[in-house]
Amino acid sequence: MDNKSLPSIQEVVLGKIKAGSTHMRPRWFFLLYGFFGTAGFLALLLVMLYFTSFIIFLLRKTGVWFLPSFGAWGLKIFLLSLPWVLIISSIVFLFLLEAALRRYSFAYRKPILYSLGGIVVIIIAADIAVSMAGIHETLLLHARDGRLPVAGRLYRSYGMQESERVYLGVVKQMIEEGMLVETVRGETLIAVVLPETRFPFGIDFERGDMVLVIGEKSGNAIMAQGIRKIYMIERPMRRRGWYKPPVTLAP
Amino acid sequence: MNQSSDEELARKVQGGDAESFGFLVLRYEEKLNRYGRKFISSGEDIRDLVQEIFIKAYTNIKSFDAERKFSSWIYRIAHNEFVNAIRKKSRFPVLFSLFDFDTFLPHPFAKDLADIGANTREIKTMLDLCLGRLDPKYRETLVLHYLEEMEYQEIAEILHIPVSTVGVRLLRAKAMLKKIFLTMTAHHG
Repeated sequence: MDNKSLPSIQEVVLGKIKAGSTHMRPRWFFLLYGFFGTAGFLALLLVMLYFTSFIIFLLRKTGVWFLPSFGAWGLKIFLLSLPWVLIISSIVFLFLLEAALRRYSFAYRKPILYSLGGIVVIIIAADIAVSMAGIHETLLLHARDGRLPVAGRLYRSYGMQESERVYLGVVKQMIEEGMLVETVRGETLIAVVLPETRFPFGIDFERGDMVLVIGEKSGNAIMAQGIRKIYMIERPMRRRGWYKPPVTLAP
Repeated sequence: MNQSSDEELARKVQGGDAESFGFLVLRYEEKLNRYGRKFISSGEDIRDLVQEIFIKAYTNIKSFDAERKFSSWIYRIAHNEFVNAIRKKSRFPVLFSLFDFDTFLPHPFAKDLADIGANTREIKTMLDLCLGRLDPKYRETLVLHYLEEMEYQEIAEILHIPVSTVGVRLLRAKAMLKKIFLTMTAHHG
């Protein structure tokens, strides 16, 4: 059709406004939109924080967190033991957060690296606070007693798992073959020291030390590929006293 | 002709004066038509798209902050409308502008670099001949800078990208444009 025979865009637009088929949205609509946008962003941030702090909690609780201290070999087991479903979910949330943030001028005026870095710093700081407050430990205890209705399943399926080949426990007794270790579950295992067993932090073990033992389990014995002491400052769940030396240690 | 600034007119529209919106339409109709024709660079019905841009601008006028530039605001609406039109035709619509590495890292000297090498007239000539062969994100930056004669800051506000990224895109776009132009002239003897 020839454009010259058409009414001008100005006529069409004003015609629609006057006919009432085009309405101006009220100011409260945009205020509400902004409010829900910000609330959505904060909700995403909280979910992301929950996932990442839960991952850190799991890694510390199972002892996987300490594996990289065994060098390249420990790092390989560390990578194989990571909860990848949770990690990938967290990465997805990170990108959703970044996308939500880029609606705001303070974010889109700067390179993505800055806003992404800002989110990561906030998450790390919050994760440290959550870890120090022992929130997940409390939730795990509630879940174990069946007193956590919604997230209880998550804690029961992930939080009560023990990593294969990685055992965290307290030295009950030093013996000729190695050491007797009482794990979180109250199971007493023999950590058998072999010629190839690695000790990245030395061999200065004594009764009551918290240790991480890596190795294949056979019956109640672990053929230790590596043993290291976990120092007081590194201890997971210390606020809840889960890893206090067991009462059976009394002389 | 109304002598009020765009922002003053927009404020009147916000207050319920629909006639003032007519003046804004008159001021931007030709500019947005040109922007659309050059950016979309295909047989789309630009008139319908431009009409839709004005309808959206009127519907959302109360979200416009009259302390800021009206031109950046309406060009942003136009950008979204044109990108949607291109996306609909794209074979991989989800991938279109999903993640842009240009916006990932800071580029401190992008503006200086982008201004070296070619003069505006030369670029405009090449743009007319080779525009359709450029990637839309580079095409759009060139159109806004060389045809709509916008500053980096305003382009950055329209595209929601850092100012330094505008410089990087212009630099790359000009290099691509020259390459396409040289290939075309070589083929045509």
